[in-house]
Amino acid sequence: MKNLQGISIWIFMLLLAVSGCKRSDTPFDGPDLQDLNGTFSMLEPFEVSKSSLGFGSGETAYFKARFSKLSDWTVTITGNTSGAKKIITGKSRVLDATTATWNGSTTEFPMFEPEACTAVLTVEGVTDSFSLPLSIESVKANPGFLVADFESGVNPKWVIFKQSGANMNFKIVTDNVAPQGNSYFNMAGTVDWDWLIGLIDFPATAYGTSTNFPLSSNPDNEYFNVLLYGVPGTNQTLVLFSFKEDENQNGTFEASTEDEYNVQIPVTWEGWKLVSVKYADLTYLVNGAPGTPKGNKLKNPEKLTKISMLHLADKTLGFASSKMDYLIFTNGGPLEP
Amino acid sequence: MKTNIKHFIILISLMCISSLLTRAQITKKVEFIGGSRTFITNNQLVVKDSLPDTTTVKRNTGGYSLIDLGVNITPNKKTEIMGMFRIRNAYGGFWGAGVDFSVRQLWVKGIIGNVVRYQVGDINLKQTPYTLYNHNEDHLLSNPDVFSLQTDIVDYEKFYIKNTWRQQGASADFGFTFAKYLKEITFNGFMTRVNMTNFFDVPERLFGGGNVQLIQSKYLRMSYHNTRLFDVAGTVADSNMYSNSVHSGVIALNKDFSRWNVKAEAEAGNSRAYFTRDSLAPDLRDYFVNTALTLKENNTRSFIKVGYMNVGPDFRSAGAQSKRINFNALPGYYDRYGNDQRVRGISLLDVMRNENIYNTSITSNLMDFNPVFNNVLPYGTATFNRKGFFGQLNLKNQKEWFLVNFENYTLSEIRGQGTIIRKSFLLNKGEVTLNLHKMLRSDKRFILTGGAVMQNTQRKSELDFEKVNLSSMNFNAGITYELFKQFDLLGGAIWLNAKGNDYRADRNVYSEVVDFTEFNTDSKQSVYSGGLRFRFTEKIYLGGFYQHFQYKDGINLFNNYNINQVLIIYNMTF
Amino acid sequence: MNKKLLILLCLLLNIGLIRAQYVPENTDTTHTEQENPYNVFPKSPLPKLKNFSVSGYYRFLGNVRNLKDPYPELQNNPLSIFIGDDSQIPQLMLNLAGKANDKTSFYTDLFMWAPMMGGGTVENVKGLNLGVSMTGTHSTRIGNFKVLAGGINWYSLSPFTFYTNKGYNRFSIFERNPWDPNTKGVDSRYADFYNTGALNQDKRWGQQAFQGIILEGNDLPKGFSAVFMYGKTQLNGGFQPLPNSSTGGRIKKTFKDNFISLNSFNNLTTSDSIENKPLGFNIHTMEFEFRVKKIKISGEAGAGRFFSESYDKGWGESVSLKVLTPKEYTGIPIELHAYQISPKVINNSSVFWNSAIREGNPTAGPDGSQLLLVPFASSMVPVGQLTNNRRGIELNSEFNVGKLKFSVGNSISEEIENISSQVTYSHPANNLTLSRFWRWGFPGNVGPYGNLTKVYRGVFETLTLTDVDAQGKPLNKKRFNTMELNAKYNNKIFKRDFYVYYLLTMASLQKKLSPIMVFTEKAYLRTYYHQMEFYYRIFPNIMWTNYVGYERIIANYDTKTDVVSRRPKNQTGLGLATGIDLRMSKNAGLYLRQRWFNYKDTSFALDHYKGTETTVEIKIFF
Repeated sequence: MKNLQGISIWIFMLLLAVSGCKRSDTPFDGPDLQDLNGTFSMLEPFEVSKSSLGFGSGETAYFKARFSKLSDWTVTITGNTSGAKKIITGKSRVLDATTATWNGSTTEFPMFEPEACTAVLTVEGVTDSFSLPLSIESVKANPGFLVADFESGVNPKWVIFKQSGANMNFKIVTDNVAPQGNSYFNMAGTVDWDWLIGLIDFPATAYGTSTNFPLSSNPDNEYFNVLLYGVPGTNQTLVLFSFKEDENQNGTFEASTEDEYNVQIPVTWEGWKLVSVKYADLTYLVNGAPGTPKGNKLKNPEKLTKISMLHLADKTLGFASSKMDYLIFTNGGPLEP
Repeated sequence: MKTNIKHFIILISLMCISSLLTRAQITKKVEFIGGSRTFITNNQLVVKDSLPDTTTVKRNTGGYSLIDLGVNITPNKKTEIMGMFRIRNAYGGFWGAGVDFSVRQLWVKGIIGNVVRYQVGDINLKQTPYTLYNHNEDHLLSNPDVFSLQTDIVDYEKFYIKNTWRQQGASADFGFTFAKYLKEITFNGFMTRVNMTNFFDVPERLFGGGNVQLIQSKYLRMSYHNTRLFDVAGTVADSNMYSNSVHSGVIALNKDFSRWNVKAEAEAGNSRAYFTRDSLAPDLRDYFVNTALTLKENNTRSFIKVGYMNVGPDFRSAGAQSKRINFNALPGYYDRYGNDQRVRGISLLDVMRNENIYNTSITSNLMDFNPVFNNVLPYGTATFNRKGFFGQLNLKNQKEWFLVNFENYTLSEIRGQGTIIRKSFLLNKGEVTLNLHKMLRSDKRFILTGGAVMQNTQRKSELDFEKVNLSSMNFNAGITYELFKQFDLLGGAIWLNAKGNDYRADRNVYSEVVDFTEFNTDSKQSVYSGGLRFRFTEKIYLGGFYQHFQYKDGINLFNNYNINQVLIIYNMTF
Repeated sequence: MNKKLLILLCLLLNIGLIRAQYVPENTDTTHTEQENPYNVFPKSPLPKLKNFSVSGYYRFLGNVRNLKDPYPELQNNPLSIFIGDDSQIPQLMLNLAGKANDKTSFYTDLFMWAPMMGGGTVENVKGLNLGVSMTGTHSTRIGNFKVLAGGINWYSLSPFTFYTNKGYNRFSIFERNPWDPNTKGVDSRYADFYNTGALNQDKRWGQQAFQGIILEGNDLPKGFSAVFMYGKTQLNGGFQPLPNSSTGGRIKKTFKDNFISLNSFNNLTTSDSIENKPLGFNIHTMEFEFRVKKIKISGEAGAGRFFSESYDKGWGESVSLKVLTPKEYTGIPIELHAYQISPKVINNSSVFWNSAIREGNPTAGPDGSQLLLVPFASSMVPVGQLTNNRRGIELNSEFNVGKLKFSVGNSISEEIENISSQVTYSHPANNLTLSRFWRWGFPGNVGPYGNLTKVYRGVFETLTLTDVDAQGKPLNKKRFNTMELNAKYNNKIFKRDFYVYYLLTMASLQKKLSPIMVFTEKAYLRTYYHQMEFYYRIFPNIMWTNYVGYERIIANYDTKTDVVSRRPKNQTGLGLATGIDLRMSKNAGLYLRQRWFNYKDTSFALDHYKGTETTVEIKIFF
């Protein structure tokens, strides 16, 4: 019996030891059922922190709202004049500065201009939408080195070559299709004997006296950006950019002894699209296939001396067309237009 | 094919060795162990689709004959080697077609220096219900004979022996006996391999553990148990390793008072499951307690038991929470049905007799369960996030005229699922066996059995989307009547009805709940079976049975189907 | 430190005894499961088989064939070296049998075969020959019961339901069968054939392969016995899940030495996946055997049918009646056999061949079953071999004249319906050699004219009749005659036994019934087969074996003629062979055979071959 008493003590000790263990204080497992299955209601109305926006001076705005459940939401801001669109999406119960801030950037081109806008909030599964007006006083400035936006015509130091094919249109056009400003470069024509339809060389000397573009020496920081437009119903075009480095800094690019890097962009889409390429990701291409650069095989953006743009298309497939605008180098990340 | 040839060569080698040993022996050194079975089945599917189902093949026949031949070699009195091969011939395969050779089990065991007993190779292991235990949670009722013949085949195929898990590895134990104060202390350790590395991204995974058991006297027993499922670092480039360890202590007190015996038992422990280098992975730690008090009448062995259990929501024990049934497996026959070839889920019929859906491995992921079969304790008593009381009343007549068993679990969640409101669970189970032949003092068996399990899961809330109310009823009834000596008429039926709603937790690889899927059911499943059995011995029998299975879906009537089966079984296991 | 602690602990606990729990069976039997519910299971030693036995045989067979004048399709490899036997008989056969107790047992057979093609272990073959079988017996006061499950089990019911033809033992014994045993003495095989008129055959003789379950009840009250069988024959094997099974049974009542039985055998399969198209056959018969004084009257009568989506002509009759009179009544024992089997009856698991219904088995296949039997068309069959769509009478007798023993038979038969314009016949002089021209499988439509079909250890040739109507249906029913004579003689030369056997088989096919074979051009086809064998025990353990086979096959102008010669078949075959049987030791024998063969059809320019064949066989039983 004595033993039993002793054992009982052991049992109590064990149970006490175990019950002394702590459990996680998580209130419940998994997502809140309210979020999954509860009814939706707006607990706080859809508002914007500032309705008159000077993005040019670095201003931003954020949207505010609070829902009764976790929801997939979308805020779409549309420029009333330009038709530019900015789309912000998220999944949360609350819209605030962390989830719904706008810095003036564009999702669907053209870019915003100083104009009146409308912001619309839609929530998945909810038929009602909520809107409010905004106005842009100044547009967002994009830091970087602008190669071309075609707003002031052709730089005389650019070298432009176009084939003498049928329906050739290889020039700056000014109309409301322009994604930025009023002008862009149009490239179109039928060349049934060659892949090349036309090309433009942008030498560094077109922008000052230096033979190099003003870029840093870190290829991981330098981004080349361009807006390209795919024309529906035409032969698919390839836009090839070549970046030529003057490694020995003698003022000229020597193809047999110095590095050239390329990016070839098949324009498979319709409408405008931003294409951004990190300088470090460029490769040397020979007829579209990777090859070995001829120079020091190092990417030296600070020695970039010339950019060439070639507009190519399969010669057997007829008329090809695309458009180009806003060639710009940015530092630290791709362009956020 | 390669494996097959390898198995074949091993088989022949062992046969030769054994024949040599047999020839050389004076005392018996080689003995043969084995079993054999012929199984022929003829099935018919009846689909109640919106249009006559012209897509599904409705009838099929199948079966096999197999021999499990074990060569039991005893090179000396302290060593025993066992190699068992399976030769399986598919029904319809003539002249060697459809033959499969496999090694069913291979182990060696013995004693080192009269001190340590060891076994290496295939091992059936069991610890406590919270550390290493093969729960049979989806078979809550004992089956009538006509069904247990079929479940016994599944158990044999999958090595389900007394809630053990079949593992591959090594085990060793030794013990001390004492003259005073203590009767004995035994030590056991084991290490098994759950999976080997693929030398790329799957690390070597082992499952090990052990226990120390102290038997003070017939009144007191205490033990400490530990299991651990873990990845072995260095076996793949990735250093992120999984580990799940469980520690448990058991105390059992036993005391006779006249014709009564009182037994108090308690098990408590904790677990931890984590990944060593995955910042997204949680470090799950929790504990459990299970205590019970049993009062037993020594003459009839009738008893009453009451207890309390508390198993934390983050308690993870791979050895105790791995499930027998893989509810995501395809049944292996009539996998799809109807004109749109919808997938046929695991049904009551499959749970009863389809070995294809049964699992033999321990897994770190929480396996899926079907709330229709068991929503109260889907991982047996090791089900996490449960607390509450349980009880059992077991009545027997001294002459074994009858056996009555009643069990109750009244439980609730410890942590809510998607809400702070917790679900409550109720499980009531009753079983009766009437040995009428003993009552009537007849030599011919006449046994009636019946049982019922009622389960209910509820979550009350003012918000409709939080409400849960799922009920299921499982009944069975059976008869065994010995028409002539050793020649039995068997019959039985099982019904499983479920109705209501619940939310099923969708878990990520870390077993965390990431979403809930609404589960609604209004289903009725039933199996009726009858046939004849001739018993050569208790484990060797020839039987022919007809079986009718119905699946009725009250929500989508076009899911309804029936399966009719004719089974011929000649089973020879020892 | 640890050691000190242990000593301290020992002292504290006053340990009187330390020992391990030694268990002779290496299993923890010292604790009940209640006492130690943990760790390794099971906690009791495994039950053992009561008995387990391994027997079998090794058989090496090497074969070199050199064709000096090959068929065109064999011109690229006239010399063939082959190790093994394409009769699906392996080099090593292990028969394994286990007994759980006195009443239940299981058995299986493992085979191994090394084709010795140079590829090493990769090419070696293993498997099961007959599969896995189980038996069980149970004796009660109402009878003895037996179950056979799995399979293949060799079994028979009655001749028309489930059986193979045993014939009248008129055959050549020069070529050894794969299943032939080593005999006690080197001449036992030949002496037995002389003395008893038969060879020792293995268990499959007269029986059919069956897989499934067979239930037997014997010695039931009032002389009854019964059999029920459900499963598959080799003709409806395979692994497709579509139903395809055979069901049969027999109820037999025995009266002293007589019996009467009701027999049934049925096959049902479906030829499409949704079971709308059943296909199969039924046959139900009554078999009996009675003795009236010393006359034995036996027979079987019943009805059968074939059904499929495209064929359902109803039931037809199958009747066979034999009357055997002893020599006391007729001078020599004479068996008169009359039979009629309707063309509507089919059962390829019975004694009669199918020559009437072009049936198929959609679920059978080479992966699990024997290939479909090609419909034989009408066949020139030996005496005792039945086909459907045939009625006939046979006379058989055996008698001795001094040391000369005779077995004779004469068969007259005719078709019931003129269905097919084709007829098949065999080439016994070099039959086994010819079948080895095409290794593996059982190809049809081979040979230079595409009219040869290989079957198990033999080849048959198809002849097309040309007196047909516009639809290709023959104008006349075919009438057949077969005459067989087997003479055996035994004596001694230099005090050593020799045996001479002569087998003559003559057959004709013609338009009209004839009591004996037609020897004229009126017969569509005449076949004359002569086979002479001579065996001499030159040493106590060596038997010299010799064989001469000669065949003449002549067709008339109502059969298909050669497009060049414009003449019908005119075939001559010759086989000369010699060899020795050497008893190497108890249960071990070496058998050598050398054959020269020559065959030519003078009407069909491409149909000729000539060459030699050497065979070495080593057979050891254990």
